[in-house]
Amino acid sequence: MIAATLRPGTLAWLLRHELRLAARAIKLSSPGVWITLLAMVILFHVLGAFMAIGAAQGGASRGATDMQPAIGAMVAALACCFMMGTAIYRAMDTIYARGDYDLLLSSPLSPAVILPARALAVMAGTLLFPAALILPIANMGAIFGHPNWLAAYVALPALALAVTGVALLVALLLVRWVGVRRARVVGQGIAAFTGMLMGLAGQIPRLLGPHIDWMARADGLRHGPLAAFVLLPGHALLGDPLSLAVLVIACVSIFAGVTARWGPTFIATASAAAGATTAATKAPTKAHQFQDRLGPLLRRKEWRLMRRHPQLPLLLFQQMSGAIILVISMQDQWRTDPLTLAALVVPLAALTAGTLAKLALADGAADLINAAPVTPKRLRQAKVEAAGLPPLAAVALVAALAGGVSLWGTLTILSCGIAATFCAVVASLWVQPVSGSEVDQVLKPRKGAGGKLVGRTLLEMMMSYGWMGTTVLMLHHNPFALLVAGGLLGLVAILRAPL
Amino acid sequence: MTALEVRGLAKAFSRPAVRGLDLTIAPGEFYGLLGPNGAGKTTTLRMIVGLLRPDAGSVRVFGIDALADPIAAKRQVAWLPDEPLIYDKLTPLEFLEFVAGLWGVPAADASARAEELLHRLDLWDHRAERCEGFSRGMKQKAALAGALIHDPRLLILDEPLTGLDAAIAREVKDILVERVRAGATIILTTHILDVAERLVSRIGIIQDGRLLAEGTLAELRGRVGRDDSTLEDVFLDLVAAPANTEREPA
Repeated sequence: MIAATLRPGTLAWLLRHELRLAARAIKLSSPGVWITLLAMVILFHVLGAFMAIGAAQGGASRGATDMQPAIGAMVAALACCFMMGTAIYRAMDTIYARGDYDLLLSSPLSPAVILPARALAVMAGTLLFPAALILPIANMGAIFGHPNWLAAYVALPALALAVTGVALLVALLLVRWVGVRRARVVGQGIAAFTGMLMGLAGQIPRLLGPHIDWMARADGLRHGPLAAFVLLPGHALLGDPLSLAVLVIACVSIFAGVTARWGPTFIATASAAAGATTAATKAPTKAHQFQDRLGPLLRRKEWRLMRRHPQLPLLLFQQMSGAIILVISMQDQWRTDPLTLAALVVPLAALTAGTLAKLALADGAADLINAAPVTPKRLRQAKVEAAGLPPLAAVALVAALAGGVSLWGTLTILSCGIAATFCAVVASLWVQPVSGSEVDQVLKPRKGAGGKLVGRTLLEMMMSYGWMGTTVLMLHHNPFALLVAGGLLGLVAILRAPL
Repeated sequence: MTALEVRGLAKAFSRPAVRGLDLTIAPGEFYGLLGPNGAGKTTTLRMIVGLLRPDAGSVRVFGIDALADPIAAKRQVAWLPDEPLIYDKLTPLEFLEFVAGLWGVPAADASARAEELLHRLDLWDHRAERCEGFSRGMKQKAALAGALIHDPRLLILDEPLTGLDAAIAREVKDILVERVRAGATIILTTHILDVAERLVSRIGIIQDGRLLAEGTLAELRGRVGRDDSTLEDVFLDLVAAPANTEREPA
């Protein structure tokens, strides 16, 4: 019906097309996604109810009322952090990676509608999850005596518009500076970094100075010269009409300004990028030495492909971000017990091994190696070795350094590092299982492996940090370590991955 | 000894793709496997190469039972599908080193053969570039070099000329003819019937997973009763005939 009423070639018509593509990209038709969203909405309605009741009870005290704009501003800042990461990623994907400009620009469609439609689709995709988290709180606020919280329904989309505008500019600058392919990776890196910033938000006071009275500083900020600017989103989220109007006008202006001013530039760079995929010629500097021993040959090929994989830095950064947060959160403990800091190599090695195993198992020419006269077991073994050896080298290095403190520390870090790496690789094989048959496709995920992918990520995290816990317990001679290690190894035995 | 002997080969997915196919191909033969889209050509070839396990039937490659001893059978075979099987992030030299290693070619031989093939296929100047920047034709040539580096006795090519320009297609055809002259056996599928007509010595036409007709072009012409017709005419007559026959009872 809607399709019939929209005139082809208009912004609304193209936006509908873009939204359909965006919905399919995030698999909105999948029951799993809907169930997750629904669960989040219900959970956040419950959470919102508690917050609203708490706000109502605290409303009597003047201090609590004064804090509300600051809390609102913090919520807006966190939402913007999350949306910025998503928006940059989606902007790169939607504007530069889809490769349909030849089709669109060769049609009678006005070029002026292409970028706004795409940008609005990016904004819609960016808004989805923050809205699912924040709007339920606003709903419950309205029920429990704060109808002004419903202003979030206007403020949040406005913020998403501004964030999308900025993300588009970032994407454009990245493409100009480093080219499309690298820009996608850098964009994803920035997205991961903004995600990490959210995780680090709670640690900022500790980082900047543990002895500063932050509450007093915050109080000063509330009445300082920057207060109006910093707290504007907070006031807008809480329904202050003037703040809301200023926020909406500012955000819409940013979005409209970017799409109108740089629209043709986006289209031109995206079109040019679509036709410029040829890598620059590089003259060979030395003769290529052929290797014919199968094991080293297979590992060398895997390492080459891993090293050149465009996603590798991002994947590693994502894995490391948890560890960085951990290091910062527990810095006091690290200072008094450096061996505990060394134990961090255990989960890092495991997570890196898991990441490398994922890259190795997703072979780009599976038919080629399956048609080769090499057993699937030998190929799989080479991939496991290629994924496991670099992290194990790091474990060995740290274990050797730990030898300066104690021999027990060296043995503990080494043994737990090996076990954790082994477990991570097994978890990767679990989601991409192989049959015992010689002729079946060995590297293709089975049907319905999508759920396993999420399961594997959780399992990897649990096992990796579980092994870190084991390491710390062993370093402190706690016999409970044996129980944890037994549990983790038992879990691996249950998975029965075909090593 | 035959180069390839297929007996009663069958495979079904949601519907039967190959139904009791028999093929016998002699050493040094250039065999064209033709058929309309969905006839079961690629499924047949993937079973021969060892990428799919048949539901029934047997495959013997130079006398080796490919289902019982797939590794030994695979040593004799090279597989070149229409989509080039290469690693975009490797250079042609690195790719050839890897493929040669998989097939157990000694490093010295592999290095010399890689240089020869890359010169022959006009890729030598690009030997240090990653394949990701290559055109489709260059990628297909790199994949062909990979298929030839271990000097296979049986070369199986599924639509190898798809998307290639005239010059590259000519080069590929010349190389294939040379290989046959050197004693290799080639099985090729193609929709370009002019190519099949000029290249292959014997033709098998399959439809709905069954071998519809087999023989030299002259034999096939005789079968449809059109002595001066092209392979295209013969092919269209043959694939149309069973459909007409099936419709008759209705």
